[in-house]
Amino acid sequence: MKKLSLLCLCYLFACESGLTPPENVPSVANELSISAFLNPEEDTLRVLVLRARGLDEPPYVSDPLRYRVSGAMVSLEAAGNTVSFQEAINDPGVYWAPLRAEPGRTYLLRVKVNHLQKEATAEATVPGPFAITTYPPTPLKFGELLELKWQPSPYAVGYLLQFQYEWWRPRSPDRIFRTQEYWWGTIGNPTLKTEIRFDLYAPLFQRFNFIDSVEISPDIQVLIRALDEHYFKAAAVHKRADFWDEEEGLELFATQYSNFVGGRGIFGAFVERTVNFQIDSTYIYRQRPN
Amino acid sequence: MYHVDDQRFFFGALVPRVEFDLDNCIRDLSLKQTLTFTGLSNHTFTAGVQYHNLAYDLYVATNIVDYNPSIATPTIHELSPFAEEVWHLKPFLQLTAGLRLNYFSNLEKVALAPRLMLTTQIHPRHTIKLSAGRYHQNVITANTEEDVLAPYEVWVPLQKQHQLSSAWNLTAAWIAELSNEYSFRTEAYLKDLSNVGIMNRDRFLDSDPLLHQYDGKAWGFEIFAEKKSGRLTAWLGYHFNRTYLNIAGRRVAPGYYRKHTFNLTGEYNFHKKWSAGFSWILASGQPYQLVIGEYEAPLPDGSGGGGLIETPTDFYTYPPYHRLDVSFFRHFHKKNWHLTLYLQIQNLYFQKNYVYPDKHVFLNDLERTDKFALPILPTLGLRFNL
Repeated sequence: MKKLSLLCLCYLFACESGLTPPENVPSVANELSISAFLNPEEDTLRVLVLRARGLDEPPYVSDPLRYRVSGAMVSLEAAGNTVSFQEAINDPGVYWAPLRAEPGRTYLLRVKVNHLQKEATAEATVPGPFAITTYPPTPLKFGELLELKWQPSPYAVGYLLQFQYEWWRPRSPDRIFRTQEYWWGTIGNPTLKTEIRFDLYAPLFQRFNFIDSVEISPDIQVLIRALDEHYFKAAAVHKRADFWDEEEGLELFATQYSNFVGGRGIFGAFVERTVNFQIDSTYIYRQRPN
Repeated sequence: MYHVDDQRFFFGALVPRVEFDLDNCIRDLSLKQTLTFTGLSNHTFTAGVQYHNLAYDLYVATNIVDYNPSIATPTIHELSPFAEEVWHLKPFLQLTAGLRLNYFSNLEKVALAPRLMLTTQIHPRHTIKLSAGRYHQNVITANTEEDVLAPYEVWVPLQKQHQLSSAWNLTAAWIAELSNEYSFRTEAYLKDLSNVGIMNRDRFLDSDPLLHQYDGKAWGFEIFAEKKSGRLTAWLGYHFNRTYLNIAGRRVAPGYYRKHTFNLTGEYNFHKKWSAGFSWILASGQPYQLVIGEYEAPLPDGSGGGGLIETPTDFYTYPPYHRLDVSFFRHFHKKNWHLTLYLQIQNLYFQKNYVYPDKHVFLNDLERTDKFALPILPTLGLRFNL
């Protein structure tokens, strides 16, 4: 019987599992990865030039400078004018130029790295400015919905709304800085939603069932950012993959969005508005259901 | 203590996040009416109409595919009037010409499908067939390109915005009835493929296309040999195939591609009451890609954008697939009924085959790549015939 068991075991494990590592693995060390975002509110454009990481190399976080690419020729073209960038002295791989992007204008970013024999280009169009038409009543009373409406931003295909405030439990020393983000947008949809009704308190109680009462900072900041196609796609893909990873333990299986030709990364654009408002009830007690 | 509580919510735009959900039920109602006219010597004319009513109760939702054609196309109608002329040129030579008109309601398209076949009997036991024709398909298989669906046979109808998948086929076949016991057949083919649908694996936004369509070519040959009678009956087949799709200026082998496939199937009758059968398959591995790196492209809020870097989808090939299944039968015969008790063992020698292409194999995690086909799978069953 023992011999039979042993034979069965040998039989079951006779075949190897897993693939044999192939010998012809292409190198990714020469692949460029670029990150740059136009914002008309800023007077400097910053371009980050990195190279890709092979899976046998250290992670980005452990050795970030290893992947910065120095000595690149970076330029930006728009309406026949070309702006050349210079590399930051104390920040290798970061290139900057004094530039104020104009809403509605299309820019072509060109990154050439001679020692890697790579050239990457990408285009982005800056969304137009927009005005907020409906503000929340200030101060906001407990239970009231925070309502915001704004005019559509030309060239924007998505919006990011970011609520920032602090909250804490009574008698607790922990103060919690809360950033709550809402993303939406549909590429090419002319009726893109430009309003939001936000219940400030419900998420706190819904997420933390054990909490009976909270105190909240009286000042709340809301950021509305109108995104161009490339920023929106990259963020949507990244944020959702990130969310999966955190909430469901899934690995990041997606090939991410990139608008560069000859390289990877994002050249995007956005315009943003910030609103501050106050609330009158900083101490809120949740009524338990009967 | 100071915490950061970061929550994100997403509206619209994104494909719903569903892990895996699958319903696949197709009700097929077919009606066919033909009219044959043999009034002219040497000519046989057939005309008719064929109607398919395909009701899809199908819902496919995975991380990347969210498809519910039962909303978009609850029922697909296929109407195909056809006409065929068989011209007996000589006693040993026959020409068949046909024309079929296909209407597919899911695509709202009409397509012509002409067919031509020349059959010549060069010997009482040897026949040569040459044929050319155009064929259309209004469904695609989703399982060949989607990891989660891979073990299932999932047919997905094309939608109105898609192009009809079509192919021009050229074939040449030699059929030999060597004796009453042995037969042999070989066939070579060339297919000019157009609008082959491949599921879009990188679909994240509603606006992203559900599938991409590509043109391509396929050619190859098949050899079949059969022993039809005696205590041992057996069937042997070999298929050589080359298929590629033109994707971004590159010839890419699709996920279902296998270069060589060899089959050997047989059954031996020991006795009137006992018999045994076997089936062995040996096939080339399917293509796969490796994740070989990653890149970073931070977003303005400093969070990490970026992603994975993969080889082309057909850069590597899985090890060959082979599997032996055996069956033992005990037959019970009575006047009016026939009962068979059988034991079937699939994958007898427990070969750990890679059944379906895992599309994201990590180079640094190869040894954990263990998505295998069937283990040893014994089945005991009864078959009852009246």
